[in-house]
Amino acid sequence: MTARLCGGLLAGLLLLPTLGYADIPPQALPSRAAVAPTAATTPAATPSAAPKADAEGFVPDSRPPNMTNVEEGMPAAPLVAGAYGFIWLAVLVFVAYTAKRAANLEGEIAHLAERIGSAEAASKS
Amino acid sequence: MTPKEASRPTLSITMWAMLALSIAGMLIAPQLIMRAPTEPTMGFVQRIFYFHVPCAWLAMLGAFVAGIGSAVYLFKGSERAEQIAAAAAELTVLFGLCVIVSGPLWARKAWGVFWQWDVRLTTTALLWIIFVAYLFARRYGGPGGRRLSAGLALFGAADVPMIYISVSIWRTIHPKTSVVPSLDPGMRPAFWLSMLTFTVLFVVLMQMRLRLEQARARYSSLYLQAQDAGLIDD
Repeated sequence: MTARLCGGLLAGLLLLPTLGYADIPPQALPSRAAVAPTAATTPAATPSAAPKADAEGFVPDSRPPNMTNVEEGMPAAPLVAGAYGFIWLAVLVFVAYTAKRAANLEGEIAHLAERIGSAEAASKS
Repeated sequence: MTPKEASRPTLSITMWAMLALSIAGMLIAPQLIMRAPTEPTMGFVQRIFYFHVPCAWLAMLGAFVAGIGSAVYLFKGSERAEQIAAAAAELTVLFGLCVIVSGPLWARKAWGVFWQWDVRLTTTALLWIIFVAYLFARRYGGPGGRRLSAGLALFGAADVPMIYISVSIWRTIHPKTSVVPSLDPGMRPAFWLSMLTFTVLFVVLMQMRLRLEQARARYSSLYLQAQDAGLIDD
């Protein structure tokens, strides 16, 4: 039962990324244009319009105040996949650990029951 | 039925059906999550919401169940309630860990940092620590360990309403509870399916864990029987 349980969960875990990402139309994925200022506003796209450093070397941030995070260059997909993967890994480990404890306990119960049974049989005879 | 069969921590047909439902939900939910509209401010990373919130809900549910079970054990002496509390406490640690890991991954992208000592985050971390302490106290606390851990569970359960209302009372960077009722209609199927899937999984894991507790009780009774028969030295 435990093996089936773990196998099912593992299959689900392995299938999830495939099912999740395979069907996404490109326009559904977050593009920089969807979540960030347009490419034209970024310094890389318009080098001539790039803000110049002041006397102390600080460069003014031309981005809108609510758009400062999205240009960090950190891709979101690994974070989402990492979070989801961690959850299912944690559940799998929990199931495997619980199954292992149950199996150990089962063995000990069987052993004890056998000893009690043989002791009772010996006392009767 | 042999003693071995009686104690075997297997799942019933209903539980197997619930497990199948949960696995089906796991397969369908990611597709709905990927097709849900992208939140304009946070972008793609907001999709962590669809499993971060269910994990948080289950961590709080587990803490609440553990608190009630512990109260019944402390005031009525019910062993069954204590077993339920222990099973729920372990699931609180499991789902709490998932919240504590998935939240910072989302925060890193949305807030620019993994962690803030925000009241919602801090009370959630506190809940997790209380239930880790519960498990340690129950496991290593000696003869009074179960009563000590039951007392800890009451503190943990008292933290649950604090977590829930924290975003409404204090100024916080964490989204408010009004996010779920005001969810975009396109996001609702993915969110509610995810909630259902995780909740069904919680019930299955709870049942599995509870059967282990029952097997432990059976082992303890056999152990005492063997001691009485002189098969085991004191």
